[in-house]
Amino acid sequence: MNNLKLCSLILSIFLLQFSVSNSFAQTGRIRIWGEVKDAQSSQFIEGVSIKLKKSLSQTQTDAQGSYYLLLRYPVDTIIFSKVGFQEVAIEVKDAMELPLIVQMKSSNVLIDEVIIESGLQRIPKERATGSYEFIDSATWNQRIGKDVISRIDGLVSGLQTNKQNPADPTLEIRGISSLGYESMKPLIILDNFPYEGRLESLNPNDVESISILKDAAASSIWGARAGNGVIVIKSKAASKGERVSTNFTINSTVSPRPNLFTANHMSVDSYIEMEKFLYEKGYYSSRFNMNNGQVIPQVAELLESNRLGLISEQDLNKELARLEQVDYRDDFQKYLYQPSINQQYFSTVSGSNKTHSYIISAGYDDGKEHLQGNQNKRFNLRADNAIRFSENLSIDLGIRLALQTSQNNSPGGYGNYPRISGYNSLASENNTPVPLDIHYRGIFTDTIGQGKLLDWKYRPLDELRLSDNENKLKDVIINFGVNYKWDFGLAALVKIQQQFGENQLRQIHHKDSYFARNLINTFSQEQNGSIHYIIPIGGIKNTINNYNSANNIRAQLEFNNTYGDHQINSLIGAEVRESKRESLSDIKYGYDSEKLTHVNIDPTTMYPSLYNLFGYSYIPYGSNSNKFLNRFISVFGNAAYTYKSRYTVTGSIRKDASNLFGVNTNQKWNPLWSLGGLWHLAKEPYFNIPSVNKFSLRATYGYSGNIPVNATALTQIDYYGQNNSAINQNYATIAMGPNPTLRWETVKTINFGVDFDLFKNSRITGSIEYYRKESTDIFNSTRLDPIVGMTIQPKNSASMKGYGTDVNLSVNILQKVIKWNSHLLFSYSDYKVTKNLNPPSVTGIASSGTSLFPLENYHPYLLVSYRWAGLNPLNGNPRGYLNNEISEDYYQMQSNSIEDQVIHGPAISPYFGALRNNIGWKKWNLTVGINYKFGHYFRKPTLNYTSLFQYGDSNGNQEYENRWRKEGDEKYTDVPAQIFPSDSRRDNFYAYSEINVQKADYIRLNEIRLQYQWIPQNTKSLKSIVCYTYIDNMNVFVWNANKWKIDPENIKGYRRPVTYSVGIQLNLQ
Amino acid sequence: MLCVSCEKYLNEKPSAKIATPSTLEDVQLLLKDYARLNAAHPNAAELASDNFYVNIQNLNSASERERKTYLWQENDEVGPFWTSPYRAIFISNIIMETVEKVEGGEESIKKNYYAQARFWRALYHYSLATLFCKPYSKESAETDLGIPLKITADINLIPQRSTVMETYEFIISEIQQALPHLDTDITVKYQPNRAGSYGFLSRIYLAMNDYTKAELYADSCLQIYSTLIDYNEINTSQNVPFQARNAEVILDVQASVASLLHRNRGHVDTFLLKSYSENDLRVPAFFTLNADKTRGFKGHYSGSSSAIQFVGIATDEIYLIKAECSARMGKTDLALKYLNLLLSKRIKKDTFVEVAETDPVKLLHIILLERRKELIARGLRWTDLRRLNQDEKYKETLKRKLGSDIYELLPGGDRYVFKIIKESVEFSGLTQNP
Repeated sequence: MNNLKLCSLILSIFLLQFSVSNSFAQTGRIRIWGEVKDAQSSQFIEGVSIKLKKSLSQTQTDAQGSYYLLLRYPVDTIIFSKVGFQEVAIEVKDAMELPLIVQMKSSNVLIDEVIIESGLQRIPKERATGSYEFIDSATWNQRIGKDVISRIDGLVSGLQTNKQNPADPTLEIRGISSLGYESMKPLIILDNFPYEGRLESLNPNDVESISILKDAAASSIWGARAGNGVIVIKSKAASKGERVSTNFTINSTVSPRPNLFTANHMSVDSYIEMEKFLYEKGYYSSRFNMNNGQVIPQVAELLESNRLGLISEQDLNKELARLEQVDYRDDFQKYLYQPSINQQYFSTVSGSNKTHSYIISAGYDDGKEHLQGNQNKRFNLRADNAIRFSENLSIDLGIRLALQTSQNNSPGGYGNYPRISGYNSLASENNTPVPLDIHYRGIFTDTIGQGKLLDWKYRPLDELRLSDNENKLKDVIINFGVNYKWDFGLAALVKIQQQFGENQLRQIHHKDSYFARNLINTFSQEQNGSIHYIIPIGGIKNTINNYNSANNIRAQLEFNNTYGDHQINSLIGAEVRESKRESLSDIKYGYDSEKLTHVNIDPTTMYPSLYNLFGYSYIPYGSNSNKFLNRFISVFGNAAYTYKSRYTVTGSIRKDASNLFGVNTNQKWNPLWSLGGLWHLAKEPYFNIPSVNKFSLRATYGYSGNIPVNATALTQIDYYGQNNSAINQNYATIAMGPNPTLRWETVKTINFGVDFDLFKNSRITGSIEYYRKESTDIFNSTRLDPIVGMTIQPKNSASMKGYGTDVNLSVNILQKVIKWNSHLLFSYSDYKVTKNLNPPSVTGIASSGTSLFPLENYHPYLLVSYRWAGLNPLNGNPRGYLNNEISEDYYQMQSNSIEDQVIHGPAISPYFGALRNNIGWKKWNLTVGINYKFGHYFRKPTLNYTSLFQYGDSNGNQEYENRWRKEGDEKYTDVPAQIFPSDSRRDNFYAYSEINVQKADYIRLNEIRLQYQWIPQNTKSLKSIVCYTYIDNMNVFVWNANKWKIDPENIKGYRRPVTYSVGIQLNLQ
Repeated sequence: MLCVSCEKYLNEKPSAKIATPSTLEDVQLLLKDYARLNAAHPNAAELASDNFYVNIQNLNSASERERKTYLWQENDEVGPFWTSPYRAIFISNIIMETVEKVEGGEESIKKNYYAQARFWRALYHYSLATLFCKPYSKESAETDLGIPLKITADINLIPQRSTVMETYEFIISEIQQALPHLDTDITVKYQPNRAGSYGFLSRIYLAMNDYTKAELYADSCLQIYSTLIDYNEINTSQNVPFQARNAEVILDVQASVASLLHRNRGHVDTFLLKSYSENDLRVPAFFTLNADKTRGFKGHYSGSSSAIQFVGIATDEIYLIKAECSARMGKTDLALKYLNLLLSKRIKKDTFVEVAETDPVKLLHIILLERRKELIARGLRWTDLRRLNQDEKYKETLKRKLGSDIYELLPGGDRYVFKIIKESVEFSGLTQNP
């Protein structure tokens, strides 16, 4: 690629003072002299090899980094090179200002001069008009997270990790532009092509850099999939030197066993108190009525036994007192949790010569999670080769392999056992698993079948031992590329990528597992006093196989050349892309994991349940299969014209067609395009402020698109297998009405940016950007009259508008013995829904901000509350306002209009960023990362009597202990009184009242890294050793706005433990 | 801009599971959408009738919709009472329109599929009519408001309310047009069939107080299929004594049991309970005995312990229609014959004594009571209340007592007609019921 070379040239040149004088007075041999410095540390570099291209003379820098040489030709090129640094080539003329001071950059560390990867081309930031963010390898590798998402947070401005759902954090680039949880995700490009696999299967250690394309000019080249921004992951490239360069990285991360008592849940005494209350109110009486009924908590069973005279008052109290001594959190912590450990091993070997460059990397990750029985392993292997047959022709050949295995054998963590009460122990004193009843009453499971059935008790600790659940992930990517370039700047290239992925979920319920025993018992029949098993005794094996594949072919023509002051960089191309997903599932009964045998069952006959207690049903069976196919054809073009290296204009255009859309949309010529301009003001001859090294202005305008996930233009009928049918028949159903006008969502962005570099040695560098964006045709549901047969139908119907600012500011505070760089990221991002044909209103205008709540004219993650009028002093009921009158009519208050409600603001922070400090002293380096977010709100979890009574367990909020009990309590508490029957509307009203919302603003110290780098002087092969320790998830609040001292990003559940890492890195050459 | 081959490339459908219904195979699979065609019947009727009562604790923990329905309170958030029949109607319309478009294929099969969908469309219009219109009365049917008749799948065409006369005429004529193309064979009981359609017409005519036609169609139905289960031969003590699509079932239609009426919450009306004789096998077959001596219902013809109720056509109902119509028209012998045929399969064999009442009024009274006893939890009591309230002799005021509160539903009261869902009133300006 021609521009590749060009780019690297421009990248590596960084002259402090370099200007060409107009004098041609001198001729012949003249002396050029100067110094060579390390661009990062500004220290002089010894031993830099300096060659003159034409005259072939050469020299080296001395210990002070200075050099001199003689010029024989009037114009020549000096090449500066040293291992570990990027080569610098400078054109020299016979008359030039001296000394010629050259800054060389370490080949590992890229500083402010960067090449952005768009996935289609490499763009030097010097010529980029659009809005890009860049994470270099040094910053990236400071973090030790085991996947890409956990490493990216807080490293660039404009990007925020939405942790509303802690299990599935999503990345948002400049807010969201879509109203679907899948479609709002940014497009991920791995090297050259969209990545369809799972992000967890990428090894973050194998990443060289990350480029983030934020505005339309940057992303519109990805067309109809780029509306929510693009994240380009660039894998490590082959090293430049002739010598083989080898790198080893090993690290280990541990995190202590979590403290379950930090989850603010109810005490055991409260559980017992509550169950007594429910028993007295007759809550369990309908269950006591049935001998096959739902399980009843132990306390209620004891009280009933006492009532029936089966146990004495004394025994009852003794037993209750015993239960009070137990707290199942102790047992959970002890038996089901463990400290987590994660280890990473990673190595690369790379090198290059005239005809061949290569990199081979291998990584192995091994981790144990906090839940016992859950662990995962990942193995990554990659080999990339570039072979140059001649100056003009080269090919690229690469293969990438990821194998991931995870075991998920934990029967579930704390909070996953709705039928276990706080006083249940999991193990008896000698560590034997305790049997529990989770579906049926003990009296039922103890007596039914007169002991002939399989045991019907549940023992969480046995389940941990008996589970064999494995998830295997394989991902293979093969790349092939041919590259031919002509001398006049034209290059043609073809790239082909094939990706195959397979994800196999395998669940073996051992024959002694509760799952198997429960199902086998349910289908058992008593015949003449003996038990006949319809489901064979044995294990039950579920498998789900998901396959995905993606084929891409792209042909591209590039033209890059310079004519005097004019520089042109352009490309046109076309791409065909197909991605397929397929899944198959299967159930086997009577499975023997040793002999690998199973027993066939009859899935077509309805069987009665045991003693016909639960009616007739089919044995769960059936293979389910699923197939998806997406096809795209795209054409695109992109051009940049630069004049005198000062002015650049860029334009891009892309047209996509897809089988998701109707013919109407495909045939309409409605391309996505962008325009941009860039002006390096400081390069103007008249610009004469010595302290300003760089001052550039950028502006762009353009459109990108976004495809609503799973939408199609056709009437959708879904086919289902017989196992989903009550009559055991394959069937089809109408899933969605036709949508012939389906089209992509359009995001229009306008972006202005300023880049600057101030004072000597680039003491202050940074950029400020301002953008506005507008999304239209957002795919969102619209409400229909139910007479038509559907109540809602998604359509291209909603709109959003947003604007914001991204600031990057890097200050080299100290540059001498101690080097202290401070990098501040600040983003402001505000957006609101401007049109929504299906406004949320059904159960009242109140929200928690944890899911989309798109009200017109408000932020889509809006927090809205009921006004709070305090607890009723007479009965402890929560009160709000109905038509401005104090009210307890929770049903009517659901119809309050938005004007009657309290609007807090967004749940996603509009002001956010980070402050990263790097302090270097000799061989030591300290990094301190501070994150901050402002301007958003959160709702704390509250006591919900309805779900507490029904499910117990994780719904038992500590507020229970503070609840209103008697008149006067309302002065000290806002927690409503316990009533029976519970009223879910009352619970809801309280949960969604304004008192439970506070500002989520925080500044927190989150990570610290200390590094020691040793560069041996006397060995040839060992280049450097880096040792480091890293502490993450510290959650030390410098400032936390809410009075409850709740971590706004860890609202529910126990506090996440801190993680500690140590690691070592060896570089050999 | 797109070349022909590109277009071809892009014409591949994005998912094997997603398709425009276009083939007879699709139609066949759509007709097997049991959950949305057979089991989409609203359960409002049982909830608002007087077969079951609940205690205040259970009532308080019920959903708003169930509570208001049970207490006969005004409520326009009727949800599935309105939406699930219209969804079934939408699917039926799609099927009918697809069949019309399919080229080729065997004509008789196409006609059969078309007729099946047509039957479902009529059935669900009827289920709406029993809830959202006044009961059929000759005097006012021409002016009383019916339901909107949705006869196209087009989501942009929203019909206004018809009259009760138009609604019933539409339903009857649709079934009559479907009838000749439906199977006479009833081995596949979840597919609309001829006997089921006759039975259904018989049910509709009875609701319209047209006893001649009701009897006629009952005859037609029983001519094809008349099997009764002898309760002497089943194990009545079982927790779930009856299977789905059992020998008495002609057409399988189901509704979910309202959560309020699940067998441990919904207690059988004590008066009704007392009316069963000592030797009536329906007591052990139908009822569970709770520890507090109340009884729940387990006798659904759905094979389910509690959550699903059978509301389709079964032979027992048709025997009773035949008996009632005969009695009303003075054919006492015939009425007694059909009544005793049924009862002989319900009473303990050696204790069974034939009913021999010859006084037509008394006989009718017996038959109507047997109807209540036999057809409990079939969703039929609601329509019976609505029609019998038109007759001075059988009028009754329903009462619910909860704690100190008493709720009443007077004969012909406004709450015998449900309010139309609020969205349809808002979006399409349908006339709301009082």
